[in-house]
Amino acid sequence: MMFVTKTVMIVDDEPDVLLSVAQILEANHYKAIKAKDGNECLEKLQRQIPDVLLLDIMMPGLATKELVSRIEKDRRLAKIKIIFLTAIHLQEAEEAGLFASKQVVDFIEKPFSVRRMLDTIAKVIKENKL
Amino acid sequence: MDNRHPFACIEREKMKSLILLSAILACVILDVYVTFIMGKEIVYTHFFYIPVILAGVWYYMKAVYVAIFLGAFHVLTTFIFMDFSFSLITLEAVQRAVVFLAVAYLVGFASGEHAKSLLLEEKRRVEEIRKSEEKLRETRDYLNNIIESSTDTITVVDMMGIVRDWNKGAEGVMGYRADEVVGTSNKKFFANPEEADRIMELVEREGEIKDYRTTVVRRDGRGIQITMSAAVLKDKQGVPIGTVRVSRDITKEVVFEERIKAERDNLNLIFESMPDGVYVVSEDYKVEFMNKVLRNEFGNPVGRICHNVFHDREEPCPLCKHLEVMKGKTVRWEWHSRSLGKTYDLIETPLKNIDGTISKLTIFRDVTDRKKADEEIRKLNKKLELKVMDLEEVTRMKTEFLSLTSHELRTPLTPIKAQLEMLHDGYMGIMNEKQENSIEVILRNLKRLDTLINDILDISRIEAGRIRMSFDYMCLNDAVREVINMQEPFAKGKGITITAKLAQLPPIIGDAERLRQVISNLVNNAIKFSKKSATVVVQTRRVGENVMFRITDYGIGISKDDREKLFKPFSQIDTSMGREHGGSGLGLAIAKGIIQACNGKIWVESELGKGSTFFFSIPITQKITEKDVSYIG
Repeated sequence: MMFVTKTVMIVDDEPDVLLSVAQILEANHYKAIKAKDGNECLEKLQRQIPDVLLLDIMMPGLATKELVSRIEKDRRLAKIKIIFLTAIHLQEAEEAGLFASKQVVDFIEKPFSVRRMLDTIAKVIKENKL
Repeated sequence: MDNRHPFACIEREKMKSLILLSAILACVILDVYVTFIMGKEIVYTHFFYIPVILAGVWYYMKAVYVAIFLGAFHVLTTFIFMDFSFSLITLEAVQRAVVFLAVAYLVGFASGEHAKSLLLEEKRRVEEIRKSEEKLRETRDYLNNIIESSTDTITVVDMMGIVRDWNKGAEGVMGYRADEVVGTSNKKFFANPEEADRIMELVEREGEIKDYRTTVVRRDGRGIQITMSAAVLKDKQGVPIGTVRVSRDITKEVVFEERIKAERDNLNLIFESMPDGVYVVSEDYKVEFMNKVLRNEFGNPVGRICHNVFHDREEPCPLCKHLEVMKGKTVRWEWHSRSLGKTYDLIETPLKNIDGTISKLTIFRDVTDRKKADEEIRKLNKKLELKVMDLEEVTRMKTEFLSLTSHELRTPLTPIKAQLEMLHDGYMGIMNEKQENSIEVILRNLKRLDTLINDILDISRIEAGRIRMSFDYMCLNDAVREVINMQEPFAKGKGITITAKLAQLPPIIGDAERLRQVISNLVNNAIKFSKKSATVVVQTRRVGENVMFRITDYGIGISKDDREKLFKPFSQIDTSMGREHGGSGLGLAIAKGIIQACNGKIWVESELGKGSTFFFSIPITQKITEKDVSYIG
């Protein structure tokens, strides 16, 4: 099993989604950090650096693309792996150029299945030896 | 000169010596007679001069021998007569003999010299004759050579129509050798034998004919066209003895002329029947040709000045492109006649004449109606463009609306699903069986709602032509195997066996994800519509340059009418089926869109109550790159 608790930051403008994801993560022994938009995310990243970032697309305030590029530019945050968790169609996300960053490693479509989300996070952690 | 030698011929030459001998003998007899019989010594010796002079004239210096002989004989007779004593008479005889000798010498010498000069002259004359004969022969050979080497036929025909001469050219053209035709009638050479008499008559009457055209027949029976020139041949007295004829084979020229004429006639016909106006004017603005359309309007103005004819002007028209065309340019321009209210499209081209001058060919077309129609079309196009833009905008808005709506629909679904799954998975404590069943029902329908949203989004993209494919080399069999593995539990639940017969296939270029979606849809349908405990057969194989997928079920089947609307959106044949079997009714429409995006075809064969077989095929080799992919038929 896991020896070190992994930290996952979840960014979503929907409080219910935020809550549900955090519940699932905590129940599975992850440390969950919640952020309701891009700005809050950046702010919290100043204090704590998660292993994985679950990121919604289409949020009010700072655009997701902009957020990704800022994370990419910050050398401190270079190790964070980003997984999109979004109601946007994969195709649209690709068209919007959201996969340009090397830190973006996977994509989970909403409404997600709990199993699939947990598997994806575990896979990303394992593959990147986090 | 002619009479300078009385004995020119040999018989008379013989008489010369006979006469001389007779004269000498007469002199000897006379000498003996006078001296011994008459015993006189008188002056009779004058007779001796006759043989001496004759010998001098005839035999030149040989006369000396005659003189010596006669002188010696005379001296001898007087010596004998004087009883062998030398007397005065003997002395006189000696004197006379000397005179004989002198005369013989003089006459012989003079005659010899004279003969020499005559001979010289004769020799010169003979030489001259020889030379002129040689020249004549050369000239004749030269002329013969010309006649023989001419490729034209040169023949001589006498007044009776009999061939008298036939050169090599004639042999070549006609195919008869000279020795076969000389001496025979010339009638057989003419396609129309009467032509022979007519030509003879013409030549006799006119003295000569030139460029007379007729048809002659070769030995091989082929008719050829010739042009003939002929003249009368006359003898020294000016009496006609025949005709000399020079002919040339002009068959090729005649054919060529005929072709040119036919082409010219055709061209004329084209110009005449053209609905456009056609005219030609010379460098100095004179009308040289005008076709029917224009003649109907302007009469026949050939020879008149064009601006005079068309516009009643004395000076060239201000818009006229004449000078440009004369420089060799082809000019196309439009002329609007305000007075007629018409627009003409003019094409003006320089024409090179044989004499080096240039004429201007003008073709003008009344485009008034076309102009109006063009304007109409332009307006309609503009409207259409606006409509298309509207439609594109509508489609774009529709897609955008749908994608937004689906996002908005999914957002609340997300926590619902998450929370329900947490409940179901025991995150919130253990539930009893009834609670668990209830949550399963909710989750199943949640799944259906999600599928519906995805399908609607797909179909709207397909209809908008915005489906995105990522093509790569892929193996169709791999996709089929993955789908079967995924669908196996669902099939087992219905007691259905999936049989796969997968042939060896070459890789294809396709979007593996999208093709899995299609295959999944088809397999899912087959399971859904199969009867319980039936078999579903999945098969792949290569057909020509395509790979083909087929899936057969032994289920309810599809009627012909239904088959036609099967691939249209929301066409699940019976809406109640949706309820019974689940599904949005969009699956096959999406499948069709995806297959078409792969340049493939999808179709169905079915019999009501017995089952259905769905097929799709995709070309093996196709040149698709990532760039031209955002297409959908």
